Amino acid sequence: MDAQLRKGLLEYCVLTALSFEDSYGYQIIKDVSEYIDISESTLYPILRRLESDDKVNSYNTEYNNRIRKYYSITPKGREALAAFQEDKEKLIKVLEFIGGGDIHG
Amino acid sequence: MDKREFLKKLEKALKKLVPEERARYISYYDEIIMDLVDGGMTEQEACAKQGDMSGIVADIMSQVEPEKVEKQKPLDVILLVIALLIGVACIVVLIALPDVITFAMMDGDGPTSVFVAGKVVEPVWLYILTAIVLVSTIIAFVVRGKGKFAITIGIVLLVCVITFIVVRIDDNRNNVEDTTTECANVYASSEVEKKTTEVIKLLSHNDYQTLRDEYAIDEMKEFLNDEYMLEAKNMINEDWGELCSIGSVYSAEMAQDNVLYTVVQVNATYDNVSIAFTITFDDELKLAGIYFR
Repeated sequence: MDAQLRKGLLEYCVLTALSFEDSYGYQIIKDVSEYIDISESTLYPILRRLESDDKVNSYNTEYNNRIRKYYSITPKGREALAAFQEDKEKLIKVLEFIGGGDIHG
Repeated sequence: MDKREFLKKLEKALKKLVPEERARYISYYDEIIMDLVDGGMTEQEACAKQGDMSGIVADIMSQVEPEKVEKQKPLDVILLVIALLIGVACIVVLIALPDVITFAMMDGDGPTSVFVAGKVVEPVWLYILTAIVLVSTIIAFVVRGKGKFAITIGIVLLVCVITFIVVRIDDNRNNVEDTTTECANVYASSEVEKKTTEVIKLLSHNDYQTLRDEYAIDEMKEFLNDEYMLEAKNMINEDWGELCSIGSVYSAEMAQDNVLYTVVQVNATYDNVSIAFTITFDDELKLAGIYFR
């Protein structure tokens, strides 16, 4: 997938994963990578950005004698996700338009 | 590559990030790798899964917010360069300047007196330079934070400065104390000149009695007699002839065992010879040594 497009979608993928339950890095990657390419090095900047935008909160828990950082979606994050749902109609139209293009010339 | 190596490499590769941000990435990867290990991978496999380090860094840097990237601060670089230059200058000066002047006034056939004297003039500007080095190093420390480079330079400079100060203090201890140095100026050079002239005249007239009684310190007295002095004079020439003229008097202050000596260098011309005198006076302007050639 196009890098720019993927970048935009990844944020919503992560928010979606967190909208089900609080999660941590490794688990988010597992959940999201079923649908879209995501690597460890791309996830963390996204989490950081979501956190600084107040769409996501984080907290530390102890697991197996080590710290594991959990992320949870905030109301603001849910709002963003809801707003994206509203855009879905438009997005699908755009996709249909692109799909209907004369690719073979 | 195990986890420790991987994280170390990552830390190095993320140098451009501000320390807190860098620490966050490191604990993030620490967690991810541990999770992969818990999922059944070895540390090596988990690290290998992260892919090429340059790819990881490129990914991170392309996503990271600009304010999380550490700006190169020109100020600290300039300060460090200044500190370095001054530090080097201090060391060069320290090495170039003769710290201890060995002043031997020993001759097998003449009256003897041996001096090892320190430099009396205090290079105040060197202290000022040292202070500047210290201050700029400290500022560089504060501005730059935990940079290893800064710490290294700082330590090197500090060691230089401390060595320098220790050397100076040690020097001072062998040397005259400041107050004594000031006292030395009590004897104006004209007085030294007068004394010198008198001593040379008495010496020329072989009037050792007067030299002994009125001019010399106790240690000198045993040498100031016909037997010693004539032998010494004859070593140069059997007959010096009459004293014709006394040249310019050059004096310097030297110290030994906390006593300040004035060392005078003067040439005198006789009918048959020209003699270079080195005459030493103690802090009471008593004759403490004569050497001639």
